[in-house]
Formats: sequence, C-alpha cells, structure tokens
Amino acid sequence: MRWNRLAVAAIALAGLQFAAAASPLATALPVHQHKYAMGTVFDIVAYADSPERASSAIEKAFEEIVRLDEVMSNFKPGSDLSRLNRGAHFQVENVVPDLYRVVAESLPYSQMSAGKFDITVGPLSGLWKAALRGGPVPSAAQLARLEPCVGYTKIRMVPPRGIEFLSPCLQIDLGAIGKGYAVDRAVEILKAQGIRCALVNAGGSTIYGMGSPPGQAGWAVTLRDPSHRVGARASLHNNAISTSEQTAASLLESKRAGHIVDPRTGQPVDTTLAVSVLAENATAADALSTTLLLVGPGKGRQLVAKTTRTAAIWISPEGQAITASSGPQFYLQAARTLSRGGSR
Amino acid sequence: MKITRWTLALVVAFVLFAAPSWGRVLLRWTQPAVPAREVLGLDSLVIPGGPNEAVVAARARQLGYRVYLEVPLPRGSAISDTVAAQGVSGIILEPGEATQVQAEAAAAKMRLSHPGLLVLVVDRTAKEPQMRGHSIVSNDGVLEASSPTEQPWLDCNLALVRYDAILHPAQVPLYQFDWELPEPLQRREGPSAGAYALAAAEAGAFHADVILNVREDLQTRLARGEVGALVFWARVKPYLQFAQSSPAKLQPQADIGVVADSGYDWFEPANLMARHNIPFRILTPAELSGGALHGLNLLVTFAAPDHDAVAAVAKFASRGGTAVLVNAKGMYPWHSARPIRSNEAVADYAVGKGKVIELLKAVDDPDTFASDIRRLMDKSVPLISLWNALTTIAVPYKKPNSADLVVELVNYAQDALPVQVRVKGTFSSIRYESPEDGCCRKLQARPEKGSTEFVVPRLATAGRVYLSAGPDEKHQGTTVPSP
Repeated sequence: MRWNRLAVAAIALAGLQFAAAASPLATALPVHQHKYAMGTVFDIVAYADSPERASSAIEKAFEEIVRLDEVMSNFKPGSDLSRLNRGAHFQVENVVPDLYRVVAESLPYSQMSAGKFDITVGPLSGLWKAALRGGPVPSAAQLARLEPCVGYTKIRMVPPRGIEFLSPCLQIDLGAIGKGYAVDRAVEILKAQGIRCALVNAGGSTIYGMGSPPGQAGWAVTLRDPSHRVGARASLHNNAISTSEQTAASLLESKRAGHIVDPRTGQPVDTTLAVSVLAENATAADALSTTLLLVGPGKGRQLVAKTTRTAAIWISPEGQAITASSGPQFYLQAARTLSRGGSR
Repeated sequence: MKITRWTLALVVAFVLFAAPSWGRVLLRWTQPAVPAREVLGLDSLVIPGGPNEAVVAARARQLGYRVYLEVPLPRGSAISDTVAAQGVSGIILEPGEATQVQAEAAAAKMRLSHPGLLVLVVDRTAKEPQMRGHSIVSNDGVLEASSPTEQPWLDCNLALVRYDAILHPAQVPLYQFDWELPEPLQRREGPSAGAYALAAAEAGAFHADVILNVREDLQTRLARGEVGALVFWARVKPYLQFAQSSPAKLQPQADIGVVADSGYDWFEPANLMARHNIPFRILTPAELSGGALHGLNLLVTFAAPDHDAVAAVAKFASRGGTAVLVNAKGMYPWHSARPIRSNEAVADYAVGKGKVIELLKAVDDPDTFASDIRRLMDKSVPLISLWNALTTIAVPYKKPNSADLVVELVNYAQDALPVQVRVKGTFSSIRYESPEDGCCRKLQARPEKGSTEFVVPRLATAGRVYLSAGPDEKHQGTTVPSP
C-alpha cells in the first residue's frame, strides 16, 4: 500500500515533469524587444513556440501602442485627444472608441477619490511642469484663474462615442492612465496572436505579467524603493503593477514643484513616498497608483479595501513601508512595515 | 632624382594635411580571412596580438586597410621596434589593469622613442550605446522589471569622450566596449545591425573614434561573401560612412565647465548632464586659474578648490557667472557676506553680478542634479535646447574663425521622430543631412529671443545640421540621395 502510494506520487510527479518538458515553452527562449513611445520605453518579453512567432506578436503589440499614442497624445497636434481638446468646448465631439473608453474608465477613479484623481488637471500640471523646467512658480492668481478649467464633472459623456466639455477652458490629459490603457491593449494583441506568456512594461512604471515564465510562479518585479532598504517585490501572474512618485525635490533650488498636482488645491502633491499598486489590469493599476499617491496611505487603505484583487504599498525614503490589500501580496525582504486592514 | 624628391614632398604634404589619418570607426578583426574594404565600408582594422597577428596584418595591408596592432600595455615598449617594420599604421595600447593616466604616460614615452610610430590609447571603460529597456534578467535567469524612472535610460559615452580628450591630448578620443547580450537569444544571435549602426552614429556625433568588436562568425561569413552577412552589414555601412563624413577641424561648443579631479564623483553627474543635452567641457583644477573659463556661463566644480581656484571662482561669479561647488567644505571669501539662502543641504551667495551655490554634500541623485543644472542654464540663453528629444543627444560644434555651427544628433531610440531644436545665435541657412536621406534638406529657421529654432522632421539614428549666418549654399533646398 505504502509502495503503491509512493508509486502513484512518483508517477504523478513524473507526469508533471513530462508535461512541463513537453510544453513547447519549457525550452523556449524569451524574446525581448523595446520601443520608445508615449515618452517612455515600452518593453515586451514574450515566450512562444518559436522566436519568430514571439517577435511577430511583439511587433504587432508595439504597432498598437504607437497607434494609441496617436490617439491619446496631448503633445501631438494631430492626435484624437488634441482634436477633442480643441473642439469639445463647442459641441459634442464624436471620438474614436479607444479615446471614449479610456476617458470613461478614468471617471470612476475621480469619483472614488472625490476628485483627487482627475484627467482635467492638465492646465494646472502644465504650469507646474513649466516651473520644473526653470520657469517661475505659479502665482496664486494664476492658479485661481485656472480653477474653472479643472474638474472631471465638467466632462459629459454622450454614449456611444460623444464627449462634451462643460467648461470653455477644460483640457484632458491622459498622462495618469494612458500608459496603463496602452499596456492592456498590447496584452490583448499578444493574446490574439496566441501568446500566453509575456511581460508588457511601460517604462518601469506600469507593468502587466501574462501567465508566468517557464518554471516560475510569476513575473518577478522589483518595486521602486526610495530608501533602497525595503527590498519590496511582487510576482505578476495575469495582473499588473504600477508605481507613482512625485518629481524629486531640487538639490540646488528651494522652490517646490512637481508633475503630480492635486486638482483641488492646485499645488503639487507634497510627498516623498513612492506608491506601487497591484491590480487586475494595467489601466486600473496606473490610475490607482496616482490616486493613492494623491490621497496618501490613510485614505488610500480605505480605497484599497473597497476594491477587489488590489494591493498597495507606500514606501518612504526612510525605509518605512505601509501596505494594504484586498487579495494579492507583496514580498518584503527587510522592512519596518506598518499594515492594517488585512495587509501583510 | 629631382622628380622623386618632389613626389616624396607631395606625399608628405598630403599625409600632413589630409583629414585625420585614420577612420572614426575601426573594426577589431580576429579571423584569418579578411574581406575587401568595399565589403566593410571602412578602411581601418585593429588586429589583436596573437599567433595570426603578422599574417592577418599582412593580408589586411594587401587589401589596402590601415592596420593597427592592439597591444597590451606591458608589451607595448617591447613590440614597438618591430611594428614599424611590419608597415602597420600604428599601435593601440590596451591599458588592461592600468589607469588611463598610466597608459598615457607609457604612450608618451613610446612616442618619444619612436617618433614615426602612431601610438594611441584605447579606453575600454566605455559602454555599449543603447536605450535601455526596463526589464532585466537577474543572475538566476529570472526576468525582472524594476522601476527607477519612467524616463528613457540612455547609455551614452559623451562624458567619457570629453574626459578622454583631456587625458589624451595627442589623439582623438578612442574607446571600445563589450556588447551587452544579457539574454540567451541575444547571445545566440549577436548584436543587431541597429546596434552596430548606433555605435557608429554615436562615435561620429561625438567626433571620437570607436573600435567595434565583430562576432567571429560574422567576420568569417563576411570574408566568404555570404549573402546573409552582406545584407546584414549593408544595413550598417551607411552609418559607418556617415560617422566618418563629418567636417574636419570642428570645435565642440560648451557654455558650462565641469571641473573634475582624479576621483570619479564627477563622472555620473557629468554623464547625466550629457543626457540632458547640457553642453559642457571638462576642466582640470589647474585650468581654473587660466583663461579656460572664457565663454562659460556656469561652472560646476567637483574638485576641492585651492587658493588660486577659489580666486578664479570668485572672479568668474563677480563677472556674472554662476558657480556650483559640489561637496563644498571650506571657508571661502564670499562667506564674509550673508548667504541669500542657507539650509543643511545648500547655501547661495551673491558674488558681484553672479553667484556661488555651495552644495554641502556629494551628489546622491545625479539625474536631479543634472535637471537642476539644466534649469540654471535655462535662466540665460542656453547654447542648445531640444524638445521631444528624450532619446536624443545633440552636440554643437563650431567652425574655426566662423559663426557657423554644426549640430550632430544621435537618437538612441532609432525610431524616426521629429525633434525641435533651439540654438543660440541667428542663422539664416539651416541644412539637414542624414544617413538615410543624404545631404541636404533645407529646414525652416525661426528666430526666437537671440536663438534660432528649427525642427528636424525625421531623426532616425543619426543626423547632422549645418547652420550658417550667411547666404544659402549651393545644395540647399535639394535632397541628394545617399551615396
């Protein structure tokens, strides 16, 4: 009986090993390519039964990312978003489905954060980006003048494809969600090409792991850690991670600036924390990481608790880590972790 | 006899006045078979020392190549007697464990004892030029992604080239790197044609010389004339030719000085300054008290200043310059006044028409430091500014005794993109040349507050812009196909 059990176990193990060895991916080499788009470097790593097939699928995914850049860029005058920003003050503008979808997907995060996450913050962040490039710090009067231009409630969605602005100076900037959306669409393209195992990485800030590499439980991701002491990692398996962090403070100048602006105060968010968010898809991870940086760990933990399959970690330059989770976990090598609400 | 002397004199004059007597891209050739020069598209090979050295060198010479022997530093002095007899064009000293300073000293000694022999020192600390992705393969073979920054990360050799120009004043900076092939598929297939092209483009843009390692199997296949190898190399050749076609005798332009000492605290900040398109030149501490500060608006010193250097910094600031002292620890004359601003990290002092900024610690975030320098630079009229160019390095050069500029561009993303450029000065004629489209396409100039703006419509890997204040030149406005 004992022999039989061992035999069954051995046969089962051998069967598993045989199945793993028989999988064409077990011996496949990863194909890794990168491309500059949306102001950052997109990496795609894919396994397939042949490098040529993986390479062809990656090329198609990159084509999709480049296409979406032409849709969502607010730097390119000819992009669909630029056209929307020029025309939606006057009438309902019918837009391409991707633009409608990404705007629609952004609005729940604005509602959830009571307006802290807001794709209409562009005019304010534009002023602060100019300050970052050496321009003057925006005055209170300048910021006050922009107040009527900002507010997600001034966007009217007119299904199935229409968008209208209810403010004459409103502008949409998809910088806090667009890369995540592009990652998700690239993942769809890879799946359509038969790829089951891939990593899609938008500049290190938003990453989706499809399946897992041969012999691994998931795609290992090292998280941004301003302290270099926490050693936080995550393992991606059909989910995504995104990281947000305010622009580093100037070493030589005292003025305060930053690219992530609180739309309700008009000021750059004053934090040195880096926040990483695990979520089911890259759009959600991207939007949530900005949201959770803006709201901070206090309210952030409450928001995470209301979501599913989401986790967040805030790491300080001093090495303090604060986590929250409604499912997935981070791996911390060495940390002083403060956690509540079911987190590690 | 008389004719022979004249002929000899003509040959000597030709050699003396010709453009640099060696190519900017050299291939390191290790295989016995050597293809014709037309196949490789260049005329200089580096032959490493070894049993085949004499045979390969002789074969390459027969095919018309300039041949350089690569010699490890300890062997250098011993080999030089025989090298001239072999008819090679020169030797390249490979420092090995020695420093560049030690290698330069050895080279100088060899040049003295063998005046007819060209002796060059190669810097092997260069990196493969590339725009890095963010996914990496860790030691145990697991693919990881880390998230240091969203900005594209460029491995660029400009800071190294600028420093080597100081260390090796008798030669054009010469560097070499090992290809980075971290993943199994890359190791199997070797560097791509794009990687070779980018390496050539970078050396060309920086007016430096690079030795490229060519995979042994590719060397053999090129020598055999295999179609696949020839097609592969045909994608590289336009960039080799473009890199070597830059006008001679141009001076790199800079309005920022970086005072470097023998330590390397300055290197990474300078490296990041290069990536932020901040045109700088490296100065030694001794140069501070000379006339080397002329034409500079900003001075960043990483070397602890001595008495003379402090006086030079004060004089520079009093005339309107901004001096940044990194890791400043001393007592300086400007401390007699109250600082404009002071905290635990930084102190600013007004000095005459300018100011001195003391950073009270070493630079722990080179990227933020470079951004700060860029902001300080942008308060005046900067020499050059770029937009939509996170993956592009631009290097301005000036023709001697002329206001004309040449701007060399290299795009590490290697994907065609429009790049908006603003250069200090007024230029009426702007022409653009590239390996893909040849010379030259006229660009629209737009004057802007003491500067001239233009847009390069399609920068793929390399490009060159000629700016002139004078009337249009002959080919302006036409597009001449690549050779």
